[in-house]
Amino acid sequence: MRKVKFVSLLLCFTLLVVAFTGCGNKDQEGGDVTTGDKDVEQGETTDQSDEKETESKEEKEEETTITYWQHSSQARDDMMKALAFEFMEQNEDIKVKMEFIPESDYSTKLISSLATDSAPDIMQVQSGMVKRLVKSDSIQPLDESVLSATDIENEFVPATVDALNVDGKYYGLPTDVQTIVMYWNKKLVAEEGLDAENGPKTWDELLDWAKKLTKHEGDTMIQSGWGTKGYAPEVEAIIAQYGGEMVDDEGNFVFADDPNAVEAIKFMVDAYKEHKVYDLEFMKNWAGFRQEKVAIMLGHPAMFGNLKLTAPNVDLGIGLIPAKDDKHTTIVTSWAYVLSSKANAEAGTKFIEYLGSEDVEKRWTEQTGELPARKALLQDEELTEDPQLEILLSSLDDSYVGHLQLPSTYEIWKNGYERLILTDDPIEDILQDIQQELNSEIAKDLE
Amino acid sequence: MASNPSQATNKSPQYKQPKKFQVAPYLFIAPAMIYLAAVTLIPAIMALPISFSDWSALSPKMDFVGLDNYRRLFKDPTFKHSLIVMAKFFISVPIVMAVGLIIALLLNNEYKGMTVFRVIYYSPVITSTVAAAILFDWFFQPTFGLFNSILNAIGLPSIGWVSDAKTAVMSVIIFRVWKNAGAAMLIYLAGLKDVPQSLIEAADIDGANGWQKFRYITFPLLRPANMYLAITGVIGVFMIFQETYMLQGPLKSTYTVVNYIYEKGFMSSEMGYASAASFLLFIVILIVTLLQYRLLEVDND
Repeated sequence: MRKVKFVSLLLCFTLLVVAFTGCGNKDQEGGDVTTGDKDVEQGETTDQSDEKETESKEEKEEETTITYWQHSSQARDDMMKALAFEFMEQNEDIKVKMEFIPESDYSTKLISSLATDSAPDIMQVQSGMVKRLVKSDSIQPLDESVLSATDIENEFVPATVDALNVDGKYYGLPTDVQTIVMYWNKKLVAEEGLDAENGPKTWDELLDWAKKLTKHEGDTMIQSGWGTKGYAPEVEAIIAQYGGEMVDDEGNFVFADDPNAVEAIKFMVDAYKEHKVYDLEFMKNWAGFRQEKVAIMLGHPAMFGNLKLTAPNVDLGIGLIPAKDDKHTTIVTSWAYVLSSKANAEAGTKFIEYLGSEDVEKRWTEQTGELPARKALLQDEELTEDPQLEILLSSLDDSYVGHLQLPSTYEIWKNGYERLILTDDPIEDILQDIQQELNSEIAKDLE
Repeated sequence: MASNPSQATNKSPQYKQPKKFQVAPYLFIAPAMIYLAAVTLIPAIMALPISFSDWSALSPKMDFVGLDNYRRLFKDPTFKHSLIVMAKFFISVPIVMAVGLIIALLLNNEYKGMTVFRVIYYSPVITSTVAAAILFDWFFQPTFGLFNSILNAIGLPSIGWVSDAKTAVMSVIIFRVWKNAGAAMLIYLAGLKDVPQSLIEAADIDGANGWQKFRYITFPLLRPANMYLAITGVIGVFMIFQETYMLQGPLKSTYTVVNYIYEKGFMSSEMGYASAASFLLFIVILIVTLLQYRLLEVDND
């Protein structure tokens, strides 16, 4: 009995010790989880002589360490590890410690770190978050001596950096740049005798095709012509094409008071509600597209690579979104590399500049399929060799920045749009409600 | 009648020792207490001062705003909507208990292989809610999902399940029943083992049928299990989040209080306001739990 009691006590004591150790200083952990550390350590082991070791120690004392977080995916993580290593070779006085966090936990972990003043030096955030982070003094502008605002304005597509500019200062560079393009199933389209190679060119044509491609058995939908359910950047794109305004000069939402914007939104709502080209109770739109039950979809260029992997059965057509008055205007959404307010501005900006450099963006596009943000790459001969990639790149030619890039504003839009398509409340009233809710939300970001 | 020797010796004065402070019991409960304090008690207490601030959680800065957050909370129609939606899920508590009890009664015998069935019925409890919800999302797909295929096969019309605001709550309740009935089964099985066999045998001699034995002997003796499951079930409904986050119905039809708190805290950067909602929820859960414990005490008396 005594023996059992002793063992139990020992176990309890061990648990307590483990618990207290777990609460210890993270800095003492040795950075095992950080790729950068590992890379640097591997480099250090190659030093042979004592002299070199001494020099290395001196250099290390002058070394600036920057921590970097991004949400994880295998392709992006591998690419980023390689880039960080190259950057450190070029900048021996800067050490990059990286942490890749699963996408589902990223936002929660990032907010927790900001709340406790332990955010990384450089982090990826949704572009819509930039104003909010500036207002809370959580991030700082890029170092002008390393990368000037003029250079950014001259070299980047405006729609990709507009959301990163607050009061004339840039707080980051874009990554994961997305527009809205159109995808269609060539087989389904051809079955209806439509031009499967070129796709619909105008919104009216798209609606006409969608009606022809939608099929019912009795009251049950068995094929959707266009899986439309009001995804925010799609609606913003058609509003822009109709000449409508989403926001005024101060940044307040005004679409509900703009007749052109209301007309554009009505077009989208009618496609669902009146023409019944899609039904939420049919099946999820992208799942339906993969299963060849939805004929046309609007979506991000990132879906191109995704569909090639997940829906090899679909004979995929790809094109710019439909036009009104020959304008294929689309909307840009992106993430951004931003610099925490406590980071070393010069070292941090150097790393961000490197990640946004022409060479890196080009490799990024080639390897991950994501769009570049630099103007020069839109006409790059090697990138435009692929006709489908050329279409995706050309979507940036006529583009505006999206205004619903905060998770909260996106949710407000999504819930409001469900009211538009699922209830009989007057459309004008619902739009006013959405506008009011959005303005309340962004009021905390505006002066 | 001979007296119990041990009782006699215990009463003797030489065994009355002065109360000595014992370290061991405290060491035994320390890990659990530290864990509870760190992840439950301290955060709950900290939510109170934060709830009087305008903290965005995007930096350590915060300003005192008094009772503003609480005033706003009581006026917010979305918060009221989330309370109503949450209340609908209370119906899942008796359903989970009933299904758990039925399974426990079926498995409460010593036939060969019963353990395998117990493991099978308990396995949803240890399955990740998120992973299981993704699977059920497919089962609930209106056109090609498993559930509608079954309904159609027996000649019944399709249902919108999660995609329809009218049936979304019911769909999540079905998921909850699948997920939690195994835990109820386990508690009931333990309760059933405590039912004295002598009472059942006496009832057999008196000619009671199966239903009568269950109604007048087994079920009344399962009262502690019922009370435990009712209390934990109700607390579980107050804290429902993962399943309603993963299986979102249209028009906020599955939007509960914790969904609201999460949205305000982590999406709208209003951690002070979200803390006010959390603290209010904490107080409500505390009151309901204390009331239920009081009922339990009365019952035991």
